[in-house]
Amino acid sequence: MKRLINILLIFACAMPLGGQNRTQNGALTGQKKYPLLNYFELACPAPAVVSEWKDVKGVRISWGCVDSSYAKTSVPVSKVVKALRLDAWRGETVMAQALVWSKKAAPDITFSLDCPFPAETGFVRYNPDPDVIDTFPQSLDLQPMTCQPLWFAIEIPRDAAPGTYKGKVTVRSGATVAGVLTLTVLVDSRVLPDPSQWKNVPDIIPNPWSVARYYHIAEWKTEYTEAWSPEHFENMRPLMERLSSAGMRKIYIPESDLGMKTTDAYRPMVVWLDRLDGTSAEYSDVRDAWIAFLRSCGFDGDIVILNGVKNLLGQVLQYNSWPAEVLLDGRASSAHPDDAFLVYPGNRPSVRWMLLLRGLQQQQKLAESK
Amino acid sequence: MTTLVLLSVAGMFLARSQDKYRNYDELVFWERPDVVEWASVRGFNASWGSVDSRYARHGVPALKKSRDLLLEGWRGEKVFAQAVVWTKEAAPDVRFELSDLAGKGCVLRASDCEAGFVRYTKTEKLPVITDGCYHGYMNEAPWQYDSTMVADCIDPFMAADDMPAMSARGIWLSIPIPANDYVGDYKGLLRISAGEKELAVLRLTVRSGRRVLPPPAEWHYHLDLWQNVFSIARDYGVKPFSDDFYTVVRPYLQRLASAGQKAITAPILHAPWGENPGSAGNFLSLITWVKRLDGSWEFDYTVFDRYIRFAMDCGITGQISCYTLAPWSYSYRYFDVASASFKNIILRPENKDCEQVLSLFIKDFAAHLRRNGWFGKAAIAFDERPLEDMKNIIRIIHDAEPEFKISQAGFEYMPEIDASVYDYSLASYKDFPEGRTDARRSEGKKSTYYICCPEIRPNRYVFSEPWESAYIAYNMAVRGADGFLCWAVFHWMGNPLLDARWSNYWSGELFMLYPGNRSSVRFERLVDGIQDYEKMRIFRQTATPEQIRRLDAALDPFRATLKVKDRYNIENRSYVPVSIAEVKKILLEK
Repeated sequence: MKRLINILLIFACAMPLGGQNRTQNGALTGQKKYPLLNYFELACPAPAVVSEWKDVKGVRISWGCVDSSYAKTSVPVSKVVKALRLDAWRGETVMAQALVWSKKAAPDITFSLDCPFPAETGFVRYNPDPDVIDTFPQSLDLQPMTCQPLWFAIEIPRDAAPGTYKGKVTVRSGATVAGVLTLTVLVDSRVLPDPSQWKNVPDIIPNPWSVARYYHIAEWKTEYTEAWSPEHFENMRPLMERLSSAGMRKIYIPESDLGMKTTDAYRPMVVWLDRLDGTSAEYSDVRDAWIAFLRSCGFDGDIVILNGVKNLLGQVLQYNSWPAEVLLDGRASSAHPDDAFLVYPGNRPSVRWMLLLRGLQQQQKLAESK
Repeated sequence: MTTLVLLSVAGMFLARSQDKYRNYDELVFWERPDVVEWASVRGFNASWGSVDSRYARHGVPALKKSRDLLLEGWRGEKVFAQAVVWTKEAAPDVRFELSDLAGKGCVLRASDCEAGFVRYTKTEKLPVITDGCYHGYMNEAPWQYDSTMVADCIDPFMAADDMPAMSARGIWLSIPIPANDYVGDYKGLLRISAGEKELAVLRLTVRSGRRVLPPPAEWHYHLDLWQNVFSIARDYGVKPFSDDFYTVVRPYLQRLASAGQKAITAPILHAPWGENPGSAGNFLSLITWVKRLDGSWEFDYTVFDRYIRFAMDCGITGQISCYTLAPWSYSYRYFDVASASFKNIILRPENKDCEQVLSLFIKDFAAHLRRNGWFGKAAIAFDERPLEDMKNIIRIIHDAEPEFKISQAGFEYMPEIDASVYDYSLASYKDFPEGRTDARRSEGKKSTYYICCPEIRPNRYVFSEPWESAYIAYNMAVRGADGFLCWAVFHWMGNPLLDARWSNYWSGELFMLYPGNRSSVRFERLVDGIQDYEKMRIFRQTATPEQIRRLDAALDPFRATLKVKDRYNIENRSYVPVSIAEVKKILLEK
């Protein structure tokens, strides 16, 4: 009976809540527009191959590989790995990916990381690729014949004592322990330089207008969040602090849409009031507030005026130009082909962000070693 | 009926192909002359006529033919005359020319005078109406009422009239008597010709008197004709506040200044009378209200400063009437820096948020006006706002800046706010309480009356008698009012040169001046009356008691009609031109 209720609850939760909302690529979302806290993934495009799952018994867990991308409806690994060793410098953030999979539905999957160091952890969710590291849910329900990766980003403090540290990850399905994975972290005596000293940091341009749009309809607020209101800055802060903590220190001031077709267009931050007599008055409120805000988020570098993206040397990345329903579908539409991002609404990191961070840290380590 | 409509439409298309600012054709006349009436008329005729008449196009002028005219006035006064020409046979290319008028050792230049053929515009025939304001219902088609063509517009650009058989036309002259030392006669001629052939010569003598009328800037009459410069902009196809705009508007404001206009109509927020899609021109704000990112308010006065300086340069220097702080929708438009766009905020006078924002504005505006030396002339102005709104707004204004003047036009006398209002205009069919205007004047305040539509006669409609415009100032004089207000002087809808009718407005409700800065019989007589008001005021200062007694006796008929029931629709006002003539005669005494 309980199981029936659970199944009914699962289906009830899957019932469309949002009427006719669609993603930027036309799919019905089945939920409210721009979800921020709780959301449902869209149906997986590739159904499970039943024969593949025939011999999978119970809720399986294993360490996976950080560099691997695991399809949602495939059995992720054939050989289970229960122990993982990570080498880290002090000040480094090291990463690991764990996997949970089951032939039958397994509701209420939770996990806990037992570790002496602070960590950012989350469920890796699909849109439709596994890219969203969803730090919000306490638990997720495992659908039949699906795989649920888990991500761990462990931040070794700069003043940690070098040595060997042990930790574990406990995965439960409901009250039952599905399994335990062990973790050993070897902390080197070498210290990773402070992000402000990092070399070869790519230029990553943040998009404040995406945040204003996406957070416009927030689950816990009934009023609109106006662009450049205190709420807007509050919403942006965690995203921007993440960016500056990865060594990005420059402040970008767009003067146009940068020649890009993004869902949320970049705009000039200097505002012109066109008077009736043809003259204009310039207001730099937004630009000044943006600069002051970013400085308070740790951006202590140069101010760069952006007109087109072509005046930047090296690689240009966008931080958060989000397609309309980015959590549900991370692919740009043909209308806004320049949408690109490394972080999600709610300051959820992406797997790509984590890999970028790992790569950046590698570069600093290599530079130090010379 | 259909023919009339088609003719009107055809006429309007015809006019559109011409430059109405210099040269236009009147609508085709459909009224036909009465052959019997014209039977005794021979050839081409010219005579001095009367400034109290509108001469019908196909009527035989009713007058005593005269080739000589004597106009007497004070030095500095403008005197008026109307000649009329009428012809039995067709008379093409009829022209006139006013010569310089020669005095002893000085000249009154023809180029200083305004002279023009009087032209005909379509209007309703004044029907018997009980409610002056609406033709029954709003938006009623004007051609539901019988119409006629009436002589009103004075066109200095019409060089010649191709007069059909059995037609007439007036020639209007407005002549400023020089305010120099010369007391005596100026003599000149009004020559009327057809091509090279001289048809008639009328002789004119202008006699300047001992007394001097000061220039309009020094008049006391508080004339407030609301200026809708956006209507001019729309008509001329120029962008408001562009350089071209200032060029085209200038002559209109200068003309108003020469009539004694005291107040600059200055909109200080967007659409103070609401947005009217069908209107001649919504009022755009001279001041941009700006909301900064941090929520603070700022006010941009760039356009305001230039426009006020311009209007003062045109000669309107008495008052800056700032419309308004209780717009009809309570909606205030502002530039929102955060979104780089214009937004609206509703601020109701009884609410705290209104008080917060308006106090900021009042303090800032007062400081800005003071820096320009304009604070003493400025008044926050209101049009027919409810009492509760007025009480709240005045409290807000005077809490922020106790010395800020208030200007109010309303159809209910509000004793509760009287003391706070510097410039109070009451609908002319109401009255200030006995003695109130004198008491207010002794405090340096202005009390005036305004005419719009409830008054049927006298009024300044195109079909009103010419002397009804002059009557206005006499009415103000006997009621102890300081001046007169009217809500529209060049609020043009359609093409008033051809057809003065529009929607539910009686013809002439919306304007007294025509495109091309053409004056009208009504406007000239309005100035006539204002001059008499001033002359009476000055005369009383040095007149003997006996003279004052006779002057007051001449004004008695004006006082008497104030006590008549339905005094805003009195048919028999035949005393008016007679009494005006009597007053003018007394005022010529030394």
